[in-house]
Amino acid sequence: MSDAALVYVRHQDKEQNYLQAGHTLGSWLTSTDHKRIGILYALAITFFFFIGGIAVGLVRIELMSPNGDFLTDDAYNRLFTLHGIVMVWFFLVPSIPATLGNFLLPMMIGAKDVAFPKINLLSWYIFIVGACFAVVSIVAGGVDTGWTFYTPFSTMFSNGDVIAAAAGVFIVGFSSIATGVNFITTVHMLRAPGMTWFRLPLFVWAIYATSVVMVLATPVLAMSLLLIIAERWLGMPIFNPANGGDPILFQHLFWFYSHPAVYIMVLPAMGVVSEIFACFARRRVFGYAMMVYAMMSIAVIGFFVWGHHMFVSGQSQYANFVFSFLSFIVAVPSAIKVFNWTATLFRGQITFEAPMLYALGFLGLFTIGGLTGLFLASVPIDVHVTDTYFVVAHFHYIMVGGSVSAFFAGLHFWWPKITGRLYSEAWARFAAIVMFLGFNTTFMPQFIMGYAGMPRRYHVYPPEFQIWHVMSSVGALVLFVAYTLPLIYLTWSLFYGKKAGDNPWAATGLEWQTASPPPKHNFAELPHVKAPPYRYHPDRQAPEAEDRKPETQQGAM
Amino acid sequence: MSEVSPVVHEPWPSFERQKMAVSFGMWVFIASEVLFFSGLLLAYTIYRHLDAEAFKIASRETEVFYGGTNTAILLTSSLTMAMAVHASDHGFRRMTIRCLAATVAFGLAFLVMKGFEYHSDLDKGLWPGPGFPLHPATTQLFWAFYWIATGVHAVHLSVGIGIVSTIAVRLKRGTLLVKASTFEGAALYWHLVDTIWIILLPMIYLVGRA
Amino acid sequence: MSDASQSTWRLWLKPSLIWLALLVLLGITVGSAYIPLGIFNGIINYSVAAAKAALVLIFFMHLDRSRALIRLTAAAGVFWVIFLFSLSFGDYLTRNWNGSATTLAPKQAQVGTREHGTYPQQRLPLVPRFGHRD
Repeated sequence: MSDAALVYVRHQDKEQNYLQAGHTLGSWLTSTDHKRIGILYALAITFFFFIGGIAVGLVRIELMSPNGDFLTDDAYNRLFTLHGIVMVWFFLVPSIPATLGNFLLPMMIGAKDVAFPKINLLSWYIFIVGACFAVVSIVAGGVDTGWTFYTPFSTMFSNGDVIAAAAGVFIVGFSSIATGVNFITTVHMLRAPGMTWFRLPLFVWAIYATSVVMVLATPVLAMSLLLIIAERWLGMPIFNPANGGDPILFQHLFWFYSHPAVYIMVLPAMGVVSEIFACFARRRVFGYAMMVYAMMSIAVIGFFVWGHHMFVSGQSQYANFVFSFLSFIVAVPSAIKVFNWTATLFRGQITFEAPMLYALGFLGLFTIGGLTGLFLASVPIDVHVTDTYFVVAHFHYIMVGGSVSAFFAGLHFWWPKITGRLYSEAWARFAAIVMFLGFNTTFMPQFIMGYAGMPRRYHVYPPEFQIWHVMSSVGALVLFVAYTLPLIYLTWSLFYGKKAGDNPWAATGLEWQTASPPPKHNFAELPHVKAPPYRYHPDRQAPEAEDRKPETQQGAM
Repeated sequence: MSEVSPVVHEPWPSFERQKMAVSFGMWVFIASEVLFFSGLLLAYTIYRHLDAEAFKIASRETEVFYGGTNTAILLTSSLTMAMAVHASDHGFRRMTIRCLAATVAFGLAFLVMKGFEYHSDLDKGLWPGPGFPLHPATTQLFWAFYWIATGVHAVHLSVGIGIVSTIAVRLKRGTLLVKASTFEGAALYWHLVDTIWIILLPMIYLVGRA
Repeated sequence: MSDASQSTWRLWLKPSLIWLALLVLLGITVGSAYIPLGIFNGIINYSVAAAKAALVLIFFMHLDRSRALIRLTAAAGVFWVIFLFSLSFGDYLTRNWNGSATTLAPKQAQVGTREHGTYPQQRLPLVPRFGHRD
């Protein structure tokens, strides 16, 4: 049985780049090209980022005064819930994986596309359908349960459109799962010749680890939301104590997903900054193998710690003890990564382009967020600060100071590759610095007031907290400016920016060895990988001051 | 009839790789489905731990006739689905179509039986809510689990029936070739649905029967 | 076209044996459920379910001739379920130890209350009572 006559289309002619292949809206909406799908996701998440931002803008305006004079209690509850739901599920979870991951993953491993291109497009459409449900829920007045949907409030007493909101999140969960399946299969099955596992860029490992978490954690969220919908819509008494139900069971199911979800949000960020530190310090990543093991450990151990969100819920004290211990353990691989990034910078020839500024911001802010996480892992401290602004500050340091910074870092770093244009470096550096300052002004006061006892999700508070709230709200305004600036100068660069060459940063990595923007099938010829990643300088030598050329690039073509 | 070579889709460099990938991708998806149902099974197991007696009382009202017969039907459908894959591997087009059709038939038979069973359950008033015929109140938890688990399973089975009938029709029309990589993937999904039912059987039907 | 019919029945042989084994196991599990065996009813039922699932996984889903990667993926699914169950049960099984506070005593579940005097009145530390809400 010969397979000599395989039906296989080969593209012989010089290809147009992927942006030129089809100009109609239809060509974009039906494209199975991973690069176009990445851009479709980018547009969707940018829209939701601003929705979530407006919601919290209103919240911060309200919080400038201790009385509830700008928003009613109900409106306030609905706005912070909206902020949480939109930012977690419609912005952060898809942000780096579905935009940068989609665009770059196949290129970084030397493939033409992801494993299942049609499912990739389907996963964007599933995201949009879920987003529609969320918009319906918003338009219907929103939900007041908090993004955590705790029972029995969400199932029995809330007056908002919980079913639409839960359905929206349920549906986008499947988008996540589909993307995860696609990426895992891609990394296993489509690596170019010579691209062994330990030659993969750390961004690819990060996306792989994230995809494993997405595939294994998201279904449990889906079930927990389905159970809420069943209870609310069909009257099934799952979490109703009067029928023997346990509201804490919901929390177990919810946090079994939602803790790994924070790793879904942070692992890709770690991958991005690894790429950027190496490039702008002209140094190989210190301890590549340990970086890989650390990311995989975070992905796995992250599944064992969910109970630290439930220390005061009524969970058994013995479970508290176990979860606390495991939460300390999960900090170790993250710390290893911080040490390795720092060591990567050491003896490097550092330049401060915008991506590097964002990445350096990540390093510091992620460290602060991570250390305060240790405070929260300790049960006695957590009992004092749980449900206060201390927790809010902690997770915003990681998710905004960490993940959003890294998202901007990656967006700037790969912008020339994606669009073929250079953005304005001066404006970008300015925006990065404004963001760093605005971020700290917003969230550092929150640690202080949280420790002093300011509860979260309250809009009426004792007057002694007002000074911190005002600082925080002013910082939020600065952040708003910092986030709007890139929208302006990046869009401007699309039309008026200088054309970027193939490799404006002189980076290693297969994606830089093809045109900017890339051709539709990524490479003119299949790359053969002969070198490990990050070959910025020869063995056992620090990089030279004037030498911006890498020692070797990864692919020989 | 001459051997028609299988279609290799973008971005695969070879058919073998594509086939491996379809299989692997489906297994990854299966892992996610296993976790989906496990959330529900966790809820069941915890509540059963907390009130075993109520669960026994509640489970006695389920109908073993339907449960057992449906299990046998689904097991047989797995047989025919496995045979469809074997036939496809060997290039036996007609046999593949027939086995796929048989699988669909068994799947539909399951749904029909389920329909009768649901009708019977509703006649007995076993929908949680006011007027629920059993005591204590925790029996409603069991029955909530029953409706959700069997309902979600039925949705999965329906999706499976849709997929299997689509590929059977396309094979018949010639738009899908007999040695395509699709059949293995569809079969894995079908067997997953069967395995879930295998696990649900003792949880729903066989508690406290003695 | 298709080969002579004797080769197709050989194709049926092994899967049909597996199928028969599955039906026999079904018979055992349903039948034994009616015999009062105390705790062994549960043990038999779940062991049989595991055996049936294993037969389907190994023979129908071809785990017997799959690559290590596929087996690892299948195993990962199972392991993650074990993680979910074990840590969750770690909570529920230890709730009543040493008189620690529990949220749920079977047959005593009442919304938001517990037996008078067994649990300290807890106030959330900062319920603001300052000023008037407009």
